[in-house]
Parts: sequence; structure tokens; C-alpha cells
Amino acid sequence: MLHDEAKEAIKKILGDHITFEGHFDMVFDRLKENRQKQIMEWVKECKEGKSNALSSDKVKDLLAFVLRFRDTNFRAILTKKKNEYFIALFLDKHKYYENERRKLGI
Amino acid sequence: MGNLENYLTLENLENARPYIVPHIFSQNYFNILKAKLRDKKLTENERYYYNHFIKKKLQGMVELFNLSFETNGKELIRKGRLKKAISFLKKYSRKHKNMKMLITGSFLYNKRYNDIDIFIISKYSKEDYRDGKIHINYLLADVEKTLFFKSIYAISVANFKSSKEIEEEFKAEDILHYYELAVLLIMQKNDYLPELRDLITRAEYVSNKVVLNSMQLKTITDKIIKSNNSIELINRYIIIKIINSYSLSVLKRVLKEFIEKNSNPEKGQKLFENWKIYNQTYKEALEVVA
Repeated sequence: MLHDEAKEAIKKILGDHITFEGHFDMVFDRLKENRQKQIMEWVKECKEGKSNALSSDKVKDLLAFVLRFRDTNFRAILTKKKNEYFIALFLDKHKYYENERRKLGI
Repeated sequence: MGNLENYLTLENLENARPYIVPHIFSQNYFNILKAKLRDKKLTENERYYYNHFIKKKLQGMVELFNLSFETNGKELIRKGRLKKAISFLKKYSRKHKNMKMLITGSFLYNKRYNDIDIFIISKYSKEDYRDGKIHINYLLADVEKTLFFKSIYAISVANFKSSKEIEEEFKAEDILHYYELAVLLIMQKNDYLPELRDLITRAEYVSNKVVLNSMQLKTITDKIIKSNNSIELINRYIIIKIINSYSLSVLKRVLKEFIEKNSNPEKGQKLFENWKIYNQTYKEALEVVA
């Protein structure tokens, strides 16, 4: 699956206002097919309330779901405004994800 | 051979001044070398003196005293691995000329190892790459002032000497973020070793001012990962560490804030399972400090 197709599918699950952050396009295209499927499944689980989240101590009412792949150093963070909408899906390497985590307060 | 200035620090140079000036360097050459170490821009004349006289003398001293490589934690490095490490460093030093470089990790001290980690300090952000078993990791120039760097440098073979102090500070909130993330990843059955390493390194540093070397770190992380109840172990570990690390008032404030942020589920939803675990840990920590 290419990143554009994935973005459309994710928008269908989470809503049109979701934004894509980090080096989403590049990282997504470099993932193996089973890892791409893993992201899509995980996004669905987050939407359905089946995944655990972290809560920010910096940004009020911010929830963050984290996905860590076993055999790569790529990470995903999906943010959501509590009781409301999903904000952004961040996908990038470990070092950028560390900065993102600090920024989000998780 | 690495960059010659990599073996020198301003402090060492200043301390050695009575022995250097005027026997090895004139006062003028000494000042040029000092300016170079301070990253000051040299004039055309100074550059000429530096490249044609000063650098060559330094090169001679490095060769004379066999200072080419700095070995840290030598007593922990396995027989035969030091020679191999030096040959790897020589090979990659040719490829990455004048760059600060170190080899570290389980290759140096474990019989069995997966990768050989070489870290290169670069002024610019570059993509890491693999060359067979060798994993080349780029680090930015200011990394020498971090706890992470001190930890990997503690058992390493390097083409430079690092004597920079740690300039990072870790708040109680930072430690709890690492704790929450590690527990979440365990619950999700994700790989959590890097996050666990981050947590343990910081927790040990804030509680005991200890910089764990990679071997000590591996011993602790192995115990947790191989445990049947890793979460319970981390919970107990984090309570012990944080109660020794911060003042009572700071701890009370932060723990209460974290309990509060983890107490309100989304409308119509139950509390996340991980939040229950965090709050139990924070409440126990509060009881201990009280």
C-alpha cells in the first residue's frame, strides 16, 4: 500500500481532520506490508477504544496512543483530544519520536 | 587516525602550558592551538602555521605515545575484542575522516553479540546505516554533554577523549513519562528495551548520581525483561528510585498531578488499564514518602 492510499483509509476511520506528521510518507512506504497492516489495525483499535493510551501532563485533555514495531526503530503516536476528535498521526524514527514525546508531555 | 584535536581539551592544554611553551610550541603557536580548540576562526596566517607546524607536531606526539585510541572500561573488555575494535575504528576512520568515533556495546564485553555499534559524532544530522554486522549511528555534536553518551562511553574504544560534564537535568515528570511508556509497551507486548534503558539510566542517575555503563545497564534490563512479572518489577523499582531523588514537596506535587491526569476516563469509557497501574504505583510512592 502506498502512503496516499493509507492516508485515505485512515481518514475514513478517524475523520477528515486528522493530520499526518513526522516523515509519514517516507516511513510508511518503507514499511513491510505486514507492518503497514499493523498500523491500520492499530488505528482501528484506537478508534474503537481497544487500545490503552497515555495522558499528557503538558497539554490539557490530550491522549496519546503509541505503537512500537518489533524489528524497526520506527514509532507511531496517535493523538486525540479527550472525548472529542483524533488530532494527528505521527510516524517517524526513534530520535524524532523522542522529541515528539517531550513536546506532547507523554 | 582521528582528528588530532580530538585528543586535546582546553583544560589539558592550559594545564600543560608550562611544559609546552616555549619547549614545544612558541607562545604564538600555543595561542593558535587554543583558538582552534575554541572553534575560533583562524586568519590565513594562523591556518598556515596550524596546518604546517602545529598539527604536524601534535601528530608526532600522538604517534610517539601511541595515543591513537582511548579505551574506557578496559578491564571489562573481552580478550581479542580490543584489537578488533581498533581495526574497525581504523577502517571507518578512513571512510569518515577527522570525525570523532567510538565503538561500544555488547561486542566489547559479551561472548555473543548481535550488532557492532559504532557511533560517529557529526555536526550535521545524517542517516544511520548498516554495513553487515556494523551499525553506524550518527550523533549530534552536543551529545557529549548527555547522560546517554556518558553511559555508552563508559565501556568503549574511541578515537577521542571526552571530558565534558553532563548538562542534562531530569525532572520527576521526565522519569514518570519513561515509566508510563515502558509499562504501556509491555502491556501491548511491544519491544520495550530502548525505552526501558532510557528509564533505568535516568532513574539511576537521578537517585544515585550513577552513570551506568552499558554492561551494568544490560544486567538490570535483562532481569526485568526475563522476569515473569516485568510490570510489577518496574513498579517497585520506580517507587524506590523516585522517593530518593526529589524533595518531598516536589514528589507530592508531581505524583498528585500524575494521579489526577490518569483519573478521568473518556465519557462512557472505563479507565484505561495502564492508568490503574500507574496510579497504584504513584499512590504507593506517596504513602512511602508520607
